[in-house]
Amino acid sequence: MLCALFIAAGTGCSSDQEAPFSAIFQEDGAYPPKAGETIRYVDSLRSVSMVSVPVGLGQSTLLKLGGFQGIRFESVLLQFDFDSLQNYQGKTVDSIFVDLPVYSVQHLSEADFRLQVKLNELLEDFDETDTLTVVPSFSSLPIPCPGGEEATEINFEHNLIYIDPAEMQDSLDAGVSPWTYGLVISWAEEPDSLGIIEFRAHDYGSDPTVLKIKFTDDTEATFPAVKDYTISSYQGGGTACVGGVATRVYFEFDLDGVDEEAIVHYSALVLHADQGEGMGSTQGESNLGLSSLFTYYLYTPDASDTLVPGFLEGTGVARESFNPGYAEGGSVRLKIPLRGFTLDVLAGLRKNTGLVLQSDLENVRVQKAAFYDKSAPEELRPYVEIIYSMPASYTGER
Amino acid sequence: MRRKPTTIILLGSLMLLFSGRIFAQSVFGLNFLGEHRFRGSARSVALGYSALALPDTNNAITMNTASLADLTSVTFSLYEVLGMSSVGYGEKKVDQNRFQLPSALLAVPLRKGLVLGLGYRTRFSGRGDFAFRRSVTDSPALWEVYKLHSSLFSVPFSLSGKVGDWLKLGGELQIDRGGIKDEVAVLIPREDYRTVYSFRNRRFSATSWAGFLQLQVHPRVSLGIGYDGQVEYSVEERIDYDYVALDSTASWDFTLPAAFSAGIAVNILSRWYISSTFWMRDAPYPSGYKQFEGILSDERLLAFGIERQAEAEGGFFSRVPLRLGYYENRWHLQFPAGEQVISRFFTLGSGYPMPGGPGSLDFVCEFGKIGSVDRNRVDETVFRFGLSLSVSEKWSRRKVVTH
Repeated sequence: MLCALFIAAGTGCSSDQEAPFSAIFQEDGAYPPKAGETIRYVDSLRSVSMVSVPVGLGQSTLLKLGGFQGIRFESVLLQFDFDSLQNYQGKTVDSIFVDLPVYSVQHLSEADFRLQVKLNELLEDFDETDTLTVVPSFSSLPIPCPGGEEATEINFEHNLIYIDPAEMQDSLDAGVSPWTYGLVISWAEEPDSLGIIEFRAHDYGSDPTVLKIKFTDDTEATFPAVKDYTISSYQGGGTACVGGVATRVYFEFDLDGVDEEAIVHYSALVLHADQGEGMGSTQGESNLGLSSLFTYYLYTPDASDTLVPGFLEGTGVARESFNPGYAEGGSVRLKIPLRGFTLDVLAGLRKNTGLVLQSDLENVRVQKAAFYDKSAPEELRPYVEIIYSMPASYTGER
Repeated sequence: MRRKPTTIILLGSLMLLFSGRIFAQSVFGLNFLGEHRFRGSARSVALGYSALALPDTNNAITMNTASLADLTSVTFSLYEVLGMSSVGYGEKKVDQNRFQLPSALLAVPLRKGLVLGLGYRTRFSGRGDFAFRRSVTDSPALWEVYKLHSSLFSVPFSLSGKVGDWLKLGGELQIDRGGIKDEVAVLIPREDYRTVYSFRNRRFSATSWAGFLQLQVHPRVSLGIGYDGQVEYSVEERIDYDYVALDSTASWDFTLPAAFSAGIAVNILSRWYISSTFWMRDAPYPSGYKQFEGILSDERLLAFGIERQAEAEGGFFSRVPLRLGYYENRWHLQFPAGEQVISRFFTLGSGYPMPGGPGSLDFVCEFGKIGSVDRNRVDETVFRFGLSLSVSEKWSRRKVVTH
């Protein structure tokens, strides 16, 4: 019976909250421990700047020509394997053209996207693993089309760039390979409308760009591209983090307003992304099944001088994804937790060299996330938020 | 009916099991050292802590260590309390339930009339666990969480002896240890939000002496006197924050003044005894408790009890003891300043010979009130149930309970 009583008492009786009457002892001062005050601190950032970092994407699956959101794909380098050309010595070239295996054409404005392009001979070799932000040296004279024109319009239906047969015939007769270092396809003029034409790179694995020659005896020769490279750049404004080109955003701030005894609960870099200016993926990349999410990487650099190598690397703070672009536009608020970074800075364990935001795929894909800067309306401006408590007091004083 | 000792072990284990779920003691224990726990078994409590002068031939946990000299066999005793209370403040009430660490003592007769004792006894205990919701502009709501756990205990080594049939003496060397831990946390129940903790740990250590005597001044009258020497605690304090640079340590001495007690027991009829005890201790200086400077006072206990002891034969009610008691305890504490905290309790208890062997199982019910809403802003109506288990050699023979 006693056992039952103890078990019943032990498991059945429940206690109510103690807080209501405990408060009386606290108010009276008889029980003096008191939690420190909790404060929300906002730092409006000393500066927000953009830093360009040379990056090249030579081993993409798709080659691109066109532009969107300030990102320009102005040139594509191609190098063909002409080892078998000697087999056709003595033949007469009827026609020659570069066949672009167009994968998708993305119309980013109301008009259908079409692009005037020209061909030039490269005078310098390139490698797909190189970091190329500009086209290597090339012949200033475009390779003419059969009619003597310098430019050809390409779009989804028209993907052949014809070359004057005489350009090839001379090499064929001489038994030498033409265009030793390859060709560069580039914009002949600023496009009237926005868009991107994407075609398969040889890294796609099949059906690459080829150069075809048709001979007068109805035979033809095909020379596939063995190297290709899209030269891209970012020429847009605003505060943007662009992968593939690459542009990082540098945030500098002071935490002078935070009490030196603060114990941090939470801290975050708060940004508002302008989804009308972002780009998660091109249409071709979407068709390939690539994510349209922008994965950012936030780090605190080893050096605050943007000109020294230490700025480009540092200690990781956060890595997360979000959708950077919608056709309809809009904005999304990002609260990027700073976790141990703020704790270490306030404790004097780490120098505050600021924070750098970059695309985590900046060596892999061209993506863009645009953010409102300090000149935006107040509710859209970037800031650092810190929520902290002061130390508890055991003497009854806050 | 004969029971196996395993029954007793099971009961003892259950008591120990529940002791692991210690909860708050009196709400007034939130202050200072905690709630003072007087020494004694369920029998002592059932007599309202008036049993200082009463001989006890069956229990190793007594109010008077000299009484151990009556034990003739190795005896192990355990005492555990479960309490339930209703706390009133203003016109509101909340319910609480609580346990306390058990007292345990082993007494070993070295020879007839000379007994060695060793055990564990809680001197002060307190526990609190409460939280307040706060808000901060443009920030998620947060909780301030407070936890207190205090436990000051003694490990007594005692020696008790008889001088003739009229005087028993007892002395104790007490190893006094314990700690008081306060935890304050600010909790924001959101992902990515750290909880900010801080802890204050106070460790108490001391060694003290106690002396007792029990005097049979008349075949029907006995006296008891106790002196529990002052305890000069060394206190080591450490405050730890999440921000290590803020951590601090300190140390000081805290003296718990000596306590004096005196009691009388009178055999008014063949099986009926009345008893009374007065106990007091001067106010300690509240070193480390600045908020109590100048407002602690002496602590006093005044207790009365009446016992009808058991008979070896007869009906069920003749074979069990009946005990009634009343005590009034004036705490050291004033809350608020100038208003003494006083507890008054009525007690009722009985016991039963231990099945399967010598010893007894005693229980007590306490009903009373601590504090007053009018004076102290808070009062606590308390019901406590205490259980004492006392087992002795030899298991093969039932011992006759003589108290």
